[in-house]
Amino acid sequence: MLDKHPFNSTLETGIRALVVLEAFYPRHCDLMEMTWFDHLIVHTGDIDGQDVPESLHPDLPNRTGELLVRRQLVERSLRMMQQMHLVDVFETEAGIEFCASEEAPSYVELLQTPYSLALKERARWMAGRFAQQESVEIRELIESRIGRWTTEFTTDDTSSGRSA
Amino acid sequence: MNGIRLRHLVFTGPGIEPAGLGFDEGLSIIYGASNTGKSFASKAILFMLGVSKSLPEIEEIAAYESVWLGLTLPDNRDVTLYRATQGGQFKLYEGLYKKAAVKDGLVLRQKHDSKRTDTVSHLLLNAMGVAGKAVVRDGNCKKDALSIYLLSPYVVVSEQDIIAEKSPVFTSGSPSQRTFEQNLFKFLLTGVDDVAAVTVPKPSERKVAKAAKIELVDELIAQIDAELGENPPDERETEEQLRRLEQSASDLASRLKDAQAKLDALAGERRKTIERRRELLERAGELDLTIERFSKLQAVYSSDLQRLQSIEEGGFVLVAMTDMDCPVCGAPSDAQKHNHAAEEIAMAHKAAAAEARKIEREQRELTQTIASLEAEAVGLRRTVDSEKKEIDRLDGEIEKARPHETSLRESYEVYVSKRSGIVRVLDLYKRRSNLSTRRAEIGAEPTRRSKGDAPSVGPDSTTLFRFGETVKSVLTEWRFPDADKVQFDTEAMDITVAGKLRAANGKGVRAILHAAFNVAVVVFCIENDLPHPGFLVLDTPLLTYREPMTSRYGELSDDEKVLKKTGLAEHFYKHLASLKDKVQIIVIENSDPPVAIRDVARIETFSGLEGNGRFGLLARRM
Repeated sequence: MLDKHPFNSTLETGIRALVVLEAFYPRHCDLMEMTWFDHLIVHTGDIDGQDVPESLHPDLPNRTGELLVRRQLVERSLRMMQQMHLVDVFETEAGIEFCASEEAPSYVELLQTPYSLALKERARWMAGRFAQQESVEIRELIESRIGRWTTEFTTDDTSSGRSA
Repeated sequence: MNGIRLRHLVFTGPGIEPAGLGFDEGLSIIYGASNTGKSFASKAILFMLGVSKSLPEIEEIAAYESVWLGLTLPDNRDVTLYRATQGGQFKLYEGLYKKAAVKDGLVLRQKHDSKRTDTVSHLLLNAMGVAGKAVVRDGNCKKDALSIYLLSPYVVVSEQDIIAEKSPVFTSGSPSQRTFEQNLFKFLLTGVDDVAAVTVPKPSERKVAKAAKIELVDELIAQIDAELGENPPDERETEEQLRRLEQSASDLASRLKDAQAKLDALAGERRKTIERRRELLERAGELDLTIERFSKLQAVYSSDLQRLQSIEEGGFVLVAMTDMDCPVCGAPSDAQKHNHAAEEIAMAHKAAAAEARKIEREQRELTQTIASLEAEAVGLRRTVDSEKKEIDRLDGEIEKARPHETSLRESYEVYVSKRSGIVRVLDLYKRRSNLSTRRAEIGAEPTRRSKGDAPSVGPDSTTLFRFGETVKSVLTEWRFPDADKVQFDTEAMDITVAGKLRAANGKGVRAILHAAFNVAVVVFCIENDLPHPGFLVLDTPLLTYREPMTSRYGELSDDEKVLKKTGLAEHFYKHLASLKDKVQIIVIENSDPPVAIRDVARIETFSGLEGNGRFGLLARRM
C-alpha cells in the first residue's frame, strides 16, 4: 500500500485528518464529516464569512484532481493513524466514529513547518465554526457551497484515488 | 432558227367549216382583191399576239367562235395560242391545234405585266430572248419594260402605216413618244437596252424636293435659335469666356486628384495602423493570459513545496515514533504487527524529499520564463501605445486634409458645370453654322437638268450609218432606182433617196421604202446576231403596182409611174424568198405576184368572186 506520489498520500491525508481531529477534540467525527473537512481545511475560501482564512491551496480551475480526495483515501489514512495509536476508533450504534487519541497532542505539537502551522490554524478555525454543529447542519452548508462536488465525495473509484 | 415562226391562223365556229391560212417557213403571199379579208388577216395576227384587244368588226366573223394561231418557238417547240373571237385571255397548248384540244391549255393573260410570266407577251419575248428588257422613255431616264405591244410595229406593218409619211421609227406619230421610239430602235439595232440607266427625278420634282429640304433645315435652325434663347450670349464672347475658364482651371483637376490621392493614402495608412494595433493588443492579451497561468503555477509550486516540508516533518516524527514500543499493547517495535505502516511512512517521507527538489528546479525555470514574458508584454504595450499615437496623428492629418479636398472638389464641380453650359452654347452655334452652310448648299443646287445629265437618245451615228448601208443593200437587191443614193437620215429617222426624204414621195414609193426599212431591220439583226421576232408581216408594200381604176388609192404619182416600170416587184419577192432560212415573211398584196416567183413562195389567193376559187379569208354568210 505504497503511495506513488507524496501529495494526497495516506501520510499527507493522515496528517491532515489528525490535525482536524485534534482541533475538534473531544468531538467525534464520522467518515463523511472527515471527508468534508479534508476538503475544507485546504479550501477555507469556499466558505463565506468575515474571518474566513484564505485557502491554503491555490484555487486552480483544474483542482478537481485535488478535490477527488475521497472517502476511501480518508478512511485508509484514519486506519493508518489508528495503527500509529494517534486516532481512536469508536464503533457505536450511530456507526463508526473517529477521535484524536491521547498521543495525538504531543505529535501535532511537533509539527512546526509553516504549512503545518497553517493547517493547524485552519483546523482550529473550522473547529470553532463546526464543532458545536450537528452533522446535518454541516451537510446543508457543504451542499449549498460545494454541493456540486457531492458525487465526487461519494464516488469510490476514480483514477487519482487509486492509492490503496 | 432565230425567232418565232407562224404556222397557221384558223377560225372555228359551230356548224361552220374552219377557215384560215397556213404559212410556209419562208415567204408567204396572201394576194387578193379588195374586201376579201387580207388586212383582216394582219389584224387577226396582231389580235392573236395579244397586241390588240379585239378583232375588227366585220360581218363574217359573227359565225366564228375561236381563233387558233399555230407557232413554232426557237427551240422547235410547237405551240398553239387559242383566243375567243370575243377577245379576253388566251390559252396555250403544246403542239399544233386547229380545233379544241383534248387537254386543257395553260391560261395566258393578254396584258403585258413585267412582274408576271403568264402573259402572251412574256411567252413571245422570252422566245426572242428579250424578256425583261427595258427602254428609257424620257430625259429623266424613266423606263418602260419591253412588251410585244411595243415591238409590234416592227413585226406587223399595216397598210396605213406602210404608206404613212411619218418615220417608220416614230410609229405612234406622237412627239412625246419620240425618245422612247428612238431608244426602242436603238435597242433593236444594238441589242443593248436601258435596264442599267438610272432614273432621275424630273426638274419639277427636284424643285419640290429642294423646297422641302430648305424648309426642314430652316426648321432645325429655328429649333436651335429657340434653344439659344431670346438674348443669346455672343459667340465670340462665349469662346473667350471658355478660354478664360479653361485657363483659370488649368491645374484644378490635377490638384483635386492630388488632394484625393493624399486623403486616400492617409486613410489607408490609418486603416493599416489600426489593424496592426489590434493584432498587437490581441497578442498582448494572450501574453497576459499566459503570464497569469504561469503565476498560478508558481503559486502551486510554492504551496506544494510547503506541503512537502510539512509531509517530511510529519513523516519524520512518525518514523521516530515507530521505533517506540506499541502504545496500545506494550510490545517492542520489531514485534509489532503494524510494521508495514512504518515502511509506508518512510517511503512517503523519501518521496516527498525528492519531489521537493524537482519542484524547486521547475520553479526556477518558471520564474525565468515569466520574467521574459513580462518583458515582452511591456514591450508590446509600449508599441501599442505608440501605434495609438500614430493613429491620432493620422486622424489629425486627415481632418486637416479633408477641407482642402472638399473645397477643391466644389470648385471643380462648379468649373465642370460652367464649362458644360458654355460648351453647349458653342455647340449650338456650331450646329447652326453647319445648317446654314447646308442650307446655302441646297439653295445652290440646280433644279434644271444640266447638259451632261441627259442620256443620249436613239442609236449612235455609227450604228445608224451601218443601218443606212443595210437599207441601201436591201434596196439594191430590189433594184430600186437610185439605190446607190440611199441614206438613213438621223434627224428624220427615215430613208432618203438622193437627199429626198421618204415622206416627200408618192404613196407607193413610201410603201416600198417603208418595207425596205422593215426588211433592213431584220437583215441588220441577222447579220449582227441580234434578237429579232423571226417573222415579218407586210401589208401592201407594192402599192405602186395597183390598178388605178379599181384601187381606192387612185392615180399613180410620177415617181410611182417610174417605179412601176421597173422590175422591182419580182426582185423584191425574190430577195424576200432568199431570206427563207432566216426570217419568215408574209406579204399581203392586191396585185398579182410576178409569175417568176410562183415557185419560191406560198401564194394564197382570195378571188373576191363567188364560185371562182376561194372568195376570201372567212366564209361569206349566205
